[in-house]
Amino acid sequence: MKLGRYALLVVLLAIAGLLVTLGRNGRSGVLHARSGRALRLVVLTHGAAEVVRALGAMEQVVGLSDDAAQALCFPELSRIPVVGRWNAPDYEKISMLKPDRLIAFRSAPGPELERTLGRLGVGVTRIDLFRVSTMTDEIRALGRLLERDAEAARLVSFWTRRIEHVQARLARARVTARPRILVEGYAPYRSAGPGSGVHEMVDLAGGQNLAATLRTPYPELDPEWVLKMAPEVIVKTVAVRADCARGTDAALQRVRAELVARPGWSSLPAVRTGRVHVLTADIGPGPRAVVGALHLARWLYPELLGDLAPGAVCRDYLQRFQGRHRGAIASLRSAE
Amino acid sequence: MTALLPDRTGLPLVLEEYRRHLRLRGARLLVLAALLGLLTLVALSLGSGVPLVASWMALLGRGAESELLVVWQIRLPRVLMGLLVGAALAMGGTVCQATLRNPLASPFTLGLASGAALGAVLAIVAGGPPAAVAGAGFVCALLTTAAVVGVSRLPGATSETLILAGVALMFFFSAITSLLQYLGTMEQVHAIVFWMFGSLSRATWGELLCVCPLTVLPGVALLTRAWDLNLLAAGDEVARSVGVDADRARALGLGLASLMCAGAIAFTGVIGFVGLVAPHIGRMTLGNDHRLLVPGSALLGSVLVLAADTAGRTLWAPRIIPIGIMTSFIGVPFFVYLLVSRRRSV
Repeated sequence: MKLGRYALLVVLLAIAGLLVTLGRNGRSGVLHARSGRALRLVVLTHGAAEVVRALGAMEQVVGLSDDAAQALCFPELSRIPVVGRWNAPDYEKISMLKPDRLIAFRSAPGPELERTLGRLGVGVTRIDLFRVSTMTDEIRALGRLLERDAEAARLVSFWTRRIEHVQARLARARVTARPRILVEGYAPYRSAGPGSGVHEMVDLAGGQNLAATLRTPYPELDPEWVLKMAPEVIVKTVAVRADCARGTDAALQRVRAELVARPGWSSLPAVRTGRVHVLTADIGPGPRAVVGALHLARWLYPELLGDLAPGAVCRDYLQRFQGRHRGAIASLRSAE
Repeated sequence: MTALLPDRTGLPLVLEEYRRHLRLRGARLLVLAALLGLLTLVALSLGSGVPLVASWMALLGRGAESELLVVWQIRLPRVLMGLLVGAALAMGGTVCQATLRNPLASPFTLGLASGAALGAVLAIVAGGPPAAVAGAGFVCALLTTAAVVGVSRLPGATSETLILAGVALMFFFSAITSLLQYLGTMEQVHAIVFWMFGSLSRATWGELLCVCPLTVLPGVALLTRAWDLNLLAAGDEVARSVGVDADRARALGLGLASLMCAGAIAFTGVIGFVGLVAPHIGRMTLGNDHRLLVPGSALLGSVLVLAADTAGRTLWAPRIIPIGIMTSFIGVPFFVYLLVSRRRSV
């Protein structure tokens, strides 16, 4: 009998605890800055950090993930406190910085991010900036959040003008057969299909992605099939950033040498005509994806679009939107 | 066999019965070898690059340049690598189970796979070329086994000690590997996961040239010492009574098994399940005599890996389903079927 009463007490306490927790989590975070002062922002993704800097709102960023602080080589970032990893932020550190909003990827961290930060009164915005198609909306959303709509519109127009220019020239040339291109990601024979950022870039650049029919974002391809499909252009994406790291040329040459040394690859049209290229991470899927797409367009249509100057576009972007830091501009290199 | 029988005329009968039993089991071994030959032929005929008849023509040296290239430079090395790796892993498992007298022993539960994974992951994070990754994986696998065997040489150590040491190392190295994955960049994580899933896609003639001596030579050595395995499996005292140094035989057996398995997975990544289950399937079909079991499990291991790889690259062509996944999908149902139909505990 006594056991029964104790059990009932435990169950009642558990239900009470559950109700209290649920009640707390129901409250949402602050959506706008407290009256008077500018929005305090913590940014976990390097793409969003770069866009915030492009909008001229970097002084509003009070915390960065270690990934964002390292990936971008803008000197003033070292002054901003680090709040943990992009997928595992330190909530205590974040709460000490008293931000109003936090920006994270859509996929990670999971929903516990909103729950935990909601208790601290911090709102969460999920932004990927992986794909060119959603990038314009996301830039505008950031602009609205930071009350820099005009700057956001300028940035959006900067990129869309460049990509529309390429599309217009391709349409005028009335290209009938798109060149077949094989895209390889970070692991051997792992390609990028519909749903991935690179696939969209290839599509915008007027290429026919070999993996387009496979309907999975990151399929592993059969080496025999690659030989059979005989791609005309091969592009490998690497995680190296050309704008910050020094001496990347040697690393890229090594990557290309390893690629063409694979069994049977010397017979591929792409290898025979020397159309094997390496795309670095800074101009891959992310805020500068349009520059990467311009490179792809030039590699896909060397006669038609050979006069495109992606390097100049990138320098232009850095000068206009990323300000006066000569270091970043001077060391810019993109892979050929 | 040397026991005295009350009636001396019974001994030739027993011998005759034993020889018949061996011949029967030997016949099963031959059937297994024939099955493997057939499977090899099927594997060489199937692929997303070259159709069936053209593949056969290419194997005979006839056909278009591109078809010859695909069959001889991509498919043949891949199939041969699958054969070698499957045999190496299965033989390693058999040796481990015999020397440790434990049905759950395998090179993987001794920490070899985790050690190899750690070595490879360290090389990946350091940004080394693929050759360095394979080399680091190989060296770390051997070091892990050396450590575990070293523990077994301590006074008072039993085979349980060995297994526990191996399992402890396995957990420790897995934790370090997970930490490196957690801290790594996107590219490193991709490369690490790719390696841990196992893949035969990178098999080239050059790699085969490295893997061959590492797997064939120890394999032949193990085949000649199969009788010692019978003795070890019967117990240390039995082995010693016949004049075999049990500790030395165990160390040698484990050393050879580790060399084979380390050599195999250094190039293909981690292919699980084969080392644990192929010996059991072999035992259910061929019995406990290691003179038959060692070659038999090698054949079974090759069959399993080859079947898994062929299915993995044809079921969802042109995508490849990682081989580590396919070996479990194919092996587990068959293993369960054998368990249930034999109603015998292993």
